[in-house]
Amino acid sequence: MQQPPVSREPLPSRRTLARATAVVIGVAALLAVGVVLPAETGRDPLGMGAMLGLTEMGRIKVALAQDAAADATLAGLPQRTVVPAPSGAIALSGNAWRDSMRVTLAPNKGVELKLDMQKNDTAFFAWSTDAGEVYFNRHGEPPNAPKDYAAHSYAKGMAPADQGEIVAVFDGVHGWFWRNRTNATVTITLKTRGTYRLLKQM
Amino acid sequence: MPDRKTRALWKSAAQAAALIALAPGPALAHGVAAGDKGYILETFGVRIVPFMYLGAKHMVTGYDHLLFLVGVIFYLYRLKDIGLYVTLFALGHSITLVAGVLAHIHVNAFLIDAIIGASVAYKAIDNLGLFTTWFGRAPDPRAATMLFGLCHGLGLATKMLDFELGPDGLLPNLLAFNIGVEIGQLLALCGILVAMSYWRRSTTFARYATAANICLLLSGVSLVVYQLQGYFSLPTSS
Repeated sequence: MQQPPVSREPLPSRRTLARATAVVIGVAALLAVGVVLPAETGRDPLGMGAMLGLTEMGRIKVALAQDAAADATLAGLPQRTVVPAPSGAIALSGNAWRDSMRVTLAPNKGVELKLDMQKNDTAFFAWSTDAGEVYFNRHGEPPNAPKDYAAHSYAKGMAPADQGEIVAVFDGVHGWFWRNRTNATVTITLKTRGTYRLLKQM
Repeated sequence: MPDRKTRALWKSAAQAAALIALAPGPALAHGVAAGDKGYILETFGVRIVPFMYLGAKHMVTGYDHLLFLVGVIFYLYRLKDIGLYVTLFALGHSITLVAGVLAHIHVNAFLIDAIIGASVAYKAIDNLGLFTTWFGRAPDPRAATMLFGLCHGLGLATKMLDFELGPDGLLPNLLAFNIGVEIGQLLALCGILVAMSYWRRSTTFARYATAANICLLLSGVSLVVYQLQGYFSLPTSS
Protein backbone atom coordinates (compact mmCIF):
# COMPACT_ATOMS: atom_id res chain seq x y z
CA MET A 1 0.00 0.00 0.00
CA GLN A 2 1.21 3.44 -0.87
CA GLN A 3 1.99 5.57 2.15
CA PRO A 4 -0.55 8.41 2.37
CA PRO A 5 0.99 11.83 1.82
CA VAL A 6 0.96 12.90 5.45
CA SER A 7 1.82 16.44 6.45
CA ARG A 8 4.61 17.81 4.31
CA GLU A 9 2.82 21.11 3.94
CA PRO A 10 3.02 24.01 6.39
CA LEU A 11 0.26 23.87 8.96
CA PRO A 12 -1.51 27.06 10.05
CA SER A 13 0.03 28.64 13.13
CA ARG A 14 -1.73 28.38 16.47
CA ARG A 15 -2.65 32.04 16.26
CA THR A 16 -4.11 31.80 12.74
CA LEU A 17 -6.10 28.78 13.78
CA ALA A 18 -7.45 30.49 16.91
CA ARG A 19 -8.53 33.45 14.81
CA ALA A 20 -10.16 31.17 12.20
CA THR A 21 -11.99 29.32 14.98
CA ALA A 22 -13.33 32.58 16.41
CA VAL A 23 -14.53 33.70 12.98
CA VAL A 24 -16.21 30.34 12.27
CA ILE A 25 -17.99 30.33 15.64
CA GLY A 26 -19.01 33.97 15.22
CA VAL A 27 -20.40 33.44 11.71
CA ALA A 28 -22.19 30.26 12.78
CA ALA A 29 -23.82 32.04 15.73
CA LEU A 30 -24.86 34.98 13.58
CA LEU A 31 -26.35 32.67 10.91
CA ALA A 32 -28.14 30.59 13.54
CA VAL A 33 -29.86 33.59 15.14
CA GLY A 34 -30.16 35.90 12.14
CA VAL A 35 -31.02 33.40 9.37
CA VAL A 36 -31.97 29.92 10.59
CA LEU A 37 -34.18 31.06 13.47
CA PRO A 38 -36.44 33.30 11.32
CA ALA A 39 -36.49 30.81 8.41
CA GLU A 40 -37.51 27.89 10.64
CA THR A 41 -39.59 29.49 13.41
CA GLY A 42 -40.57 32.95 12.15
CA ARG A 43 -38.88 34.55 15.20
CA ASP A 44 -36.56 37.34 14.12
CA PRO A 45 -34.68 38.95 17.04
CA LEU A 46 -32.07 40.65 14.81
CA GLY A 47 -34.45 41.83 12.10
CA MET A 48 -32.31 40.06 9.47
CA GLY A 49 -35.05 37.60 8.59
CA ALA A 50 -37.51 40.31 7.57
CA MET A 51 -34.79 42.00 5.52
CA LEU A 52 -33.96 38.75 3.71
CA GLY A 53 -37.56 37.61 3.29
CA LEU A 54 -37.02 34.56 5.48
CA THR A 55 -39.38 35.40 8.33
CA GLU A 56 -42.34 34.74 6.03
CA MET A 57 -40.89 31.27 5.38
CA GLY A 58 -40.72 30.57 9.10
CA ARG A 59 -44.26 31.83 9.69
CA ILE A 60 -45.61 29.61 6.90
CA LYS A 61 -43.77 26.56 8.25
CA VAL A 62 -45.11 27.20 11.75
CA ALA A 63 -48.63 27.64 10.35
CA LEU A 64 -48.30 24.37 8.38
CA ALA A 65 -47.07 22.54 11.47
CA GLN A 66 -50.00 23.93 13.46
CA ASP A 67 -52.40 22.88 10.70
CA ALA A 68 -50.99 19.35 10.82
CA ALA A 69 -51.28 19.24 14.61
CA ALA A 70 -54.84 20.60 14.44
CA ASP A 71 -55.79 18.01 11.83
CA ALA A 72 -54.41 15.30 14.09
CA THR A 73 -56.35 16.40 17.17
CA LEU A 74 -59.38 18.18 15.64
CA ALA A 75 -58.66 20.91 18.18
CA GLY A 76 -58.22 23.43 15.39
CA LEU A 77 -61.75 23.09 14.02
CA PRO A 78 -63.38 25.96 15.95
CA GLN A 79 -60.74 28.29 14.49
CA ARG A 80 -62.38 28.20 11.09
CA THR A 81 -66.09 28.31 10.62
CA VAL A 82 -67.98 27.89 7.39
CA VAL A 83 -71.53 29.14 7.05
CA PRO A 84 -73.69 29.22 3.95
CA ALA A 85 -74.14 32.87 2.99
CA PRO A 86 -77.71 34.18 2.65
CA SER A 87 -78.65 33.10 -0.84
CA GLY A 88 -81.42 35.54 -1.76
CA ALA A 89 -79.23 38.60 -2.23
CA ILE A 90 -76.71 37.11 -4.62
CA ALA A 91 -78.84 35.89 -7.50
CA LEU A 92 -77.68 37.40 -10.78
CA SER A 93 -79.97 37.76 -13.77
CA GLY A 94 -79.78 34.57 -15.80
CA ASN A 95 -76.60 33.46 -14.09
CA ALA A 96 -77.72 32.80 -10.56
CA TRP A 97 -75.04 31.48 -8.22
CA ARG A 98 -75.85 27.97 -7.14
CA ASP A 99 -73.84 27.83 -3.92
CA SER A 100 -72.31 30.30 -1.58
CA MET A 101 -70.07 29.80 1.43
CA ARG A 102 -68.45 32.10 3.93
CA VAL A 103 -65.27 31.18 5.77
CA THR A 104 -63.71 33.07 8.64
CA LEU A 105 -59.97 32.68 9.09
CA ALA A 106 -57.97 33.64 12.17
CA PRO A 107 -54.42 34.95 11.50
CA ASN A 108 -52.15 32.31 9.89
CA LYS A 109 -55.05 29.85 9.48
CA GLY A 110 -55.87 28.18 6.19
CA VAL A 111 -58.93 26.47 4.75
CA GLU A 112 -59.84 24.44 1.67
CA LEU A 113 -63.17 24.55 -0.17
CA LYS A 114 -63.58 22.05 -3.00
CA LEU A 115 -65.95 21.14 -5.79
CA ASP A 116 -66.43 17.52 -6.76
CA MET A 117 -66.03 17.49 -10.55
CA GLN A 118 -65.71 15.12 -13.48
CA LYS A 119 -63.08 15.75 -16.12
CA ASN A 120 -63.97 18.75 -18.33
CA ASP A 121 -66.76 19.92 -15.99
CA THR A 122 -66.82 23.71 -15.82
CA ALA A 123 -67.49 25.71 -12.68
CA PHE A 124 -67.76 29.51 -12.50
CA PHE A 125 -66.72 31.24 -9.33
CA ALA A 126 -66.22 34.56 -7.61
CA TRP A 127 -64.69 35.10 -4.19
CA SER A 128 -63.69 38.11 -2.18
CA THR A 129 -62.50 39.00 1.29
CA ASP A 130 -63.72 41.63 3.70
CA ALA A 131 -60.21 42.74 4.71
CA GLY A 132 -57.54 42.81 2.03
CA GLU A 133 -55.36 40.16 0.48
CA VAL A 134 -55.21 36.46 1.28
CA TYR A 135 -52.96 33.78 -0.17
CA PHE A 136 -54.86 31.49 -2.55
CA ASN A 137 -54.01 28.36 -4.49
CA ARG A 138 -56.64 27.20 -6.96
CA HIS A 139 -55.91 23.54 -7.53
CA GLY A 140 -57.26 20.05 -8.07
CA GLU A 141 -56.56 16.57 -6.71
CA PRO A 142 -57.59 13.16 -8.02
CA PRO A 143 -59.64 10.94 -5.66
CA ASN A 144 -57.67 9.09 -2.97
CA ALA A 145 -54.49 11.05 -3.68
CA PRO A 146 -51.62 10.07 -1.39
CA LYS A 147 -50.94 12.50 1.45
CA ASP A 148 -47.83 13.94 -0.14
CA TYR A 149 -49.46 14.29 -3.57
CA ALA A 150 -48.62 17.68 -5.05
CA ALA A 151 -51.90 19.03 -6.33
CA HIS A 152 -52.37 20.30 -9.86
CA SER A 153 -52.30 24.07 -9.45
CA TYR A 154 -54.46 26.23 -11.72
CA ALA A 155 -53.26 29.48 -10.17
CA LYS A 156 -51.83 30.87 -6.99
CA GLY A 157 -51.07 34.28 -5.59
CA MET A 158 -52.07 36.98 -3.15
CA ALA A 159 -55.35 38.74 -3.89
CA PRO A 160 -58.33 40.40 -2.18
CA ALA A 161 -60.74 38.83 -4.70
CA ASP A 162 -60.79 36.63 -7.79
CA GLN A 163 -63.27 35.32 -10.33
CA GLY A 164 -63.26 33.05 -13.34
CA GLU A 165 -63.86 29.44 -14.17
CA ILE A 166 -62.39 26.05 -13.38
CA VAL A 167 -62.33 23.45 -16.14
CA ALA A 168 -61.49 20.20 -14.37
CA VAL A 169 -58.37 18.59 -15.88
CA PHE A 170 -59.25 15.23 -14.30
CA ASP A 171 -61.94 13.57 -12.15
CA GLY A 172 -61.52 14.69 -8.56
CA VAL A 173 -61.92 17.62 -6.21
CA HIS A 174 -61.08 21.07 -7.50
CA GLY A 175 -61.15 24.28 -5.57
CA TRP A 176 -59.25 26.69 -3.33
CA PHE A 177 -56.83 26.76 -0.51
CA TRP A 178 -56.67 30.11 1.27
CA ARG A 179 -54.40 31.26 4.05
CA ASN A 180 -54.79 34.44 6.05
CA ARG A 181 -51.28 35.88 6.30
CA THR A 182 -52.39 39.05 8.04
CA ASN A 183 -52.56 39.68 11.76
CA ALA A 184 -56.34 40.17 11.77
CA THR A 185 -59.34 37.93 11.12
CA VAL A 186 -60.44 37.74 7.48
CA THR A 187 -63.74 36.51 6.08
CA ILE A 188 -63.84 35.04 2.58
CA THR A 189 -67.08 34.68 0.62
CA LEU A 190 -67.17 32.20 -2.27
CA LYS A 191 -69.94 31.87 -4.84
CA THR A 192 -70.11 29.11 -7.44
CA ARG A 193 -72.26 27.79 -10.24
CA GLY A 194 -71.77 25.31 -13.05
CA THR A 195 -71.38 21.55 -13.38
CA TYR A 196 -70.12 20.03 -10.17
CA ARG A 197 -71.53 17.72 -7.57
CA LEU A 198 -71.16 19.62 -4.34
CA LEU A 199 -69.28 22.34 -2.57
CA LYS A 200 -67.54 21.12 0.54
CA GLN A 201 -64.96 22.02 3.11
CA MET A 202 -62.05 19.63 3.14
CA MET B 1 1.00 -13.87 3.63
CA PRO B 2 0.19 -10.80 5.69
CA ASP B 3 3.02 -8.31 5.92
CA ARG B 4 3.24 -5.57 8.51
CA LYS B 5 1.38 -2.97 6.45
CA THR B 6 -1.50 -5.30 5.69
CA ARG B 7 -1.81 -6.14 9.37
CA ALA B 8 -1.80 -2.44 10.22
CA LEU B 9 -4.55 -1.96 7.65
CA TRP B 10 -6.68 -4.68 9.20
CA LYS B 11 -6.15 -3.19 12.64
CA SER B 12 -7.28 0.19 11.34
CA ALA B 13 -10.27 -1.44 9.70
CA ALA B 14 -11.24 -3.01 13.02
CA GLN B 15 -10.96 0.37 14.75
CA ALA B 16 -13.06 1.95 12.04
CA ALA B 17 -15.69 -0.79 12.21
CA ALA B 18 -15.93 -0.28 15.96
CA LEU B 19 -16.53 3.44 15.44
CA ILE B 20 -19.19 2.80 12.80
CA ALA B 21 -20.91 0.20 14.97
CA LEU B 22 -21.17 2.76 17.79
CA ALA B 23 -22.63 5.40 15.48
CA PRO B 24 -26.40 5.92 15.55
CA GLY B 25 -28.49 3.89 13.10
CA PRO B 26 -29.44 5.03 9.62
CA ALA B 27 -30.99 8.44 9.56
CA LEU B 28 -32.66 9.84 6.47
CA ALA B 29 -30.25 11.25 3.96
CA HIS B 30 -31.70 14.26 2.21
CA GLY B 31 -34.52 14.34 4.74
CA VAL B 32 -35.88 17.65 3.58
CA ALA B 33 -38.55 18.54 6.08
CA ALA B 34 -42.14 18.69 4.92
CA GLY B 35 -41.95 22.28 6.11
CA ASP B 36 -39.66 23.31 3.24
CA LYS B 37 -41.84 21.65 0.62
CA GLY B 38 -44.94 23.06 2.25
CA TYR B 39 -43.41 26.52 2.13
CA ILE B 40 -42.62 26.18 -1.57
CA LEU B 41 -46.14 24.93 -2.32
CA GLU B 42 -47.55 27.93 -0.48
CA THR B 43 -45.49 30.54 -2.28
CA PHE B 44 -45.08 31.65 -5.85
CA GLY B 45 -42.88 33.80 -8.05
CA VAL B 46 -39.22 34.78 -7.73
CA ARG B 47 -37.81 34.29 -4.22
CA ILE B 48 -34.04 34.67 -4.32
CA VAL B 49 -32.97 34.59 -0.68
CA PRO B 50 -35.41 31.85 0.42
CA PHE B 51 -34.17 29.56 -2.35
CA MET B 52 -30.55 30.38 -1.51
CA TYR B 53 -31.35 29.44 2.08
CA LEU B 54 -32.92 26.14 0.98
CA GLY B 55 -29.88 25.32 -1.18
CA ALA B 56 -27.47 26.05 1.65
CA LYS B 57 -29.62 24.09 4.11
CA HIS B 58 -29.68 21.08 1.79
CA MET B 59 -25.87 21.11 1.66
CA VAL B 60 -25.16 21.81 5.33
CA THR B 61 -27.65 19.20 6.59
CA GLY B 62 -26.78 16.56 3.95
CA TYR B 63 -24.25 14.39 5.76
CA ASP B 64 -23.37 12.43 2.61
CA HIS B 65 -22.31 15.67 0.89
CA LEU B 66 -20.32 16.59 4.01
CA LEU B 67 -18.57 13.20 4.13
CA PHE B 68 -17.54 13.65 0.51
CA LEU B 69 -16.13 17.09 1.37
CA VAL B 70 -14.17 15.63 4.30
CA GLY B 71 -12.73 13.04 1.91
CA VAL B 72 -11.84 15.61 -0.73
CA ILE B 73 -9.95 17.94 1.59
CA PHE B 74 -8.45 15.21 3.78
CA TYR B 75 -5.01 15.54 2.17
CA LEU B 76 -5.46 18.99 0.63
CA TYR B 77 -3.45 21.59 2.51
CA ARG B 78 -3.13 24.46 0.10
CA LEU B 79 -6.02 26.87 -0.28
CA LYS B 80 -5.23 26.97 -4.00
CA ASP B 81 -5.86 23.21 -4.34
CA ILE B 82 -8.99 23.37 -2.22
CA GLY B 83 -10.23 26.22 -4.39
CA LEU B 84 -9.58 24.19 -7.56
CA TYR B 85 -11.47 21.11 -6.33
CA VAL B 86 -14.39 23.12 -4.99
CA THR B 87 -14.63 24.96 -8.31
CA LEU B 88 -14.57 21.72 -10.33
CA PHE B 89 -17.21 20.19 -8.10
CA ALA B 90 -19.37 23.34 -8.27
CA LEU B 91 -19.07 23.46 -12.05
CA GLY B 92 -20.19 19.83 -12.27
CA HIS B 93 -23.24 20.14 -10.05
CA SER B 94 -24.31 23.47 -11.52
CA ILE B 95 -24.50 21.95 -15.00
CA THR B 96 -26.62 18.95 -14.01
CA LEU B 97 -28.77 20.87 -11.51
CA VAL B 98 -29.91 23.46 -14.04
CA ALA B 99 -30.08 21.05 -16.99
CA GLY B 100 -31.79 18.34 -14.90
CA VAL B 101 -34.57 20.63 -13.67
CA LEU B 102 -35.16 22.35 -17.01
CA ALA B 103 -35.18 18.99 -18.88
CA HIS B 104 -37.16 17.23 -16.12
CA ILE B 105 -34.51 14.53 -15.62
CA HIS B 106 -36.00 12.83 -12.59
CA VAL B 107 -33.55 10.17 -11.43
CA ASN B 108 -34.69 8.00 -8.56
CA ALA B 109 -33.46 9.62 -5.33
CA PHE B 110 -32.26 6.29 -3.91
CA LEU B 111 -30.05 5.67 -6.95
CA ILE B 112 -28.58 9.17 -6.82
CA ASP B 113 -27.91 8.86 -3.10
CA ALA B 114 -26.27 5.48 -3.74
CA ILE B 115 -23.94 7.17 -6.27
CA ILE B 116 -23.19 9.91 -3.72
CA GLY B 117 -22.34 7.14 -1.22
CA ALA B 118 -20.09 5.62 -3.88
CA SER B 119 -18.37 8.98 -4.31
CA VAL B 120 -17.56 8.96 -0.57
CA ALA B 121 -16.17 5.43 -0.91
CA TYR B 122 -14.17 6.40 -4.01
CA LYS B 123 -12.58 9.35 -2.25
CA ALA B 124 -11.66 7.19 0.77
CA ILE B 125 -10.08 4.53 -1.46
CA ASP B 126 -8.20 7.28 -3.28
CA ASN B 127 -6.98 8.74 0.03
CA LEU B 128 -5.82 5.29 1.15
CA GLY B 129 -3.77 5.04 -2.04
CA LEU B 130 -5.46 1.74 -2.87
CA PHE B 131 -6.11 2.55 -6.53
CA THR B 132 -2.35 2.58 -7.11
CA THR B 133 -1.97 -0.66 -5.17
CA TRP B 134 -4.75 -2.42 -7.05
CA PHE B 135 -4.53 -1.03 -10.57
CA GLY B 136 -1.08 0.53 -10.74
CA ARG B 137 -2.46 4.04 -11.12
CA ALA B 138 -5.17 6.24 -9.63
CA PRO B 139 -7.89 7.93 -11.67
CA ASP B 140 -7.31 11.63 -12.32
CA PRO B 141 -8.69 13.23 -9.13
CA ARG B 142 -9.77 16.36 -11.00
CA ALA B 143 -11.81 14.39 -13.54
CA ALA B 144 -13.30 12.28 -10.73
CA THR B 145 -14.26 15.36 -8.71
CA MET B 146 -15.93 16.88 -11.76
CA LEU B 147 -17.74 13.60 -12.50
CA PHE B 148 -19.08 13.32 -8.96
CA GLY B 149 -20.02 16.99 -9.12
CA LEU B 150 -22.20 16.08 -12.10
CA CYS B 151 -23.77 13.21 -10.09
CA HIS B 152 -24.39 15.35 -6.99
CA GLY B 153 -26.04 17.91 -9.29
CA LEU B 154 -28.49 15.29 -10.58
CA GLY B 155 -29.36 14.61 -6.95
CA LEU B 156 -29.96 18.32 -6.38
CA ALA B 157 -32.11 18.44 -9.55
CA THR B 158 -34.19 15.52 -8.31
CA LYS B 159 -34.64 17.32 -4.98
CA MET B 160 -35.76 20.48 -6.78
CA LEU B 161 -38.20 18.50 -8.96
CA ASP B 162 -39.59 16.91 -5.79
CA PHE B 163 -40.34 20.43 -4.57
CA GLU B 164 -42.83 20.72 -7.49
CA LEU B 165 -41.73 24.25 -8.36
CA GLY B 166 -44.12 26.32 -10.38
CA PRO B 167 -42.98 27.61 -13.79
CA ASP B 168 -43.35 31.12 -12.37
CA GLY B 169 -39.83 32.37 -11.61
CA LEU B 170 -38.35 28.89 -12.06
CA LEU B 171 -34.97 29.87 -13.53
CA PRO B 172 -34.12 32.65 -11.03
CA ASN B 173 -35.20 30.39 -8.15
CA LEU B 174 -33.10 27.57 -9.55
CA LEU B 175 -30.00 29.75 -9.88
CA ALA B 176 -30.57 31.08 -6.36
CA PHE B 177 -30.79 27.48 -5.08
CA ASN B 178 -27.54 26.65 -6.89
CA ILE B 179 -25.76 29.68 -5.40
CA GLY B 180 -27.14 28.66 -2.01
CA VAL B 181 -25.66 25.18 -2.46
CA GLU B 182 -22.30 26.86 -3.07
CA ILE B 183 -22.62 29.09 -0.02
CA GLY B 184 -23.62 26.12 2.12
CA GLN B 185 -20.68 24.14 0.79
CA LEU B 186 -18.22 26.94 1.54
CA LEU B 187 -19.64 27.38 5.05
CA ALA B 188 -19.38 23.64 5.72
CA LEU B 189 -15.89 23.61 4.21
CA CYS B 190 -14.70 26.39 6.55
CA GLY B 191 -15.93 24.47 9.59
CA ILE B 192 -14.44 21.16 8.38
CA LEU B 193 -11.15 22.85 7.47
CA VAL B 194 -10.73 24.43 10.91
CA ALA B 195 -11.52 21.13 12.63
CA MET B 196 -9.13 19.26 10.30
CA SER B 197 -6.38 21.82 10.94
CA TYR B 198 -6.57 21.18 14.69
CA TRP B 199 -6.35 17.46 14.04
CA ARG B 200 -3.48 17.83 11.56
CA ARG B 201 -1.45 19.70 14.15
CA SER B 202 -1.76 16.79 16.57
CA THR B 203 0.36 13.65 16.38
CA THR B 204 -2.81 11.52 16.29
CA PHE B 205 -3.41 12.66 12.70
CA ALA B 206 -0.60 10.56 11.25
CA ARG B 207 -1.58 7.67 13.50
CA TYR B 208 -5.29 7.63 12.69
CA ALA B 209 -5.45 9.11 9.18
CA THR B 210 -5.73 5.63 7.69
CA ALA B 211 -8.39 4.58 10.20
CA ALA B 212 -10.35 7.75 9.45
CA ASN B 213 -10.30 7.01 5.73
CA ILE B 214 -11.39 3.44 6.34
CA CYS B 215 -14.24 4.94 8.38
CA LEU B 216 -15.10 7.08 5.37
CA LEU B 217 -14.90 4.05 3.11
CA LEU B 218 -17.22 2.02 5.33
CA SER B 219 -19.62 4.96 5.60
CA GLY B 220 -19.66 5.28 1.83
CA VAL B 221 -20.26 1.58 1.33
CA SER B 222 -22.98 1.59 4.03
CA LEU B 223 -24.69 4.49 2.27
CA VAL B 224 -24.59 2.61 -1.04
CA VAL B 225 -26.06 -0.55 0.53
CA TYR B 226 -28.67 1.41 2.49
CA GLN B 227 -29.82 3.43 -0.54
CA LEU B 228 -29.86 0.41 -2.87
CA GLN B 229 -31.88 -1.49 -0.30
CA GLY B 230 -34.31 1.43 -0.30
CA TYR B 231 -34.42 1.37 -4.10
CA PHE B 232 -35.11 -2.35 -4.36
CA SER B 233 -37.78 -2.33 -1.66
CA LEU B 234 -39.79 0.30 -3.57
CA PRO B 235 -43.27 -0.89 -4.54
CA THR B 236 -43.06 -2.16 -8.12
CA SER B 237 -46.08 -0.11 -9.15
CA SER B 238 -44.19 3.18 -8.95
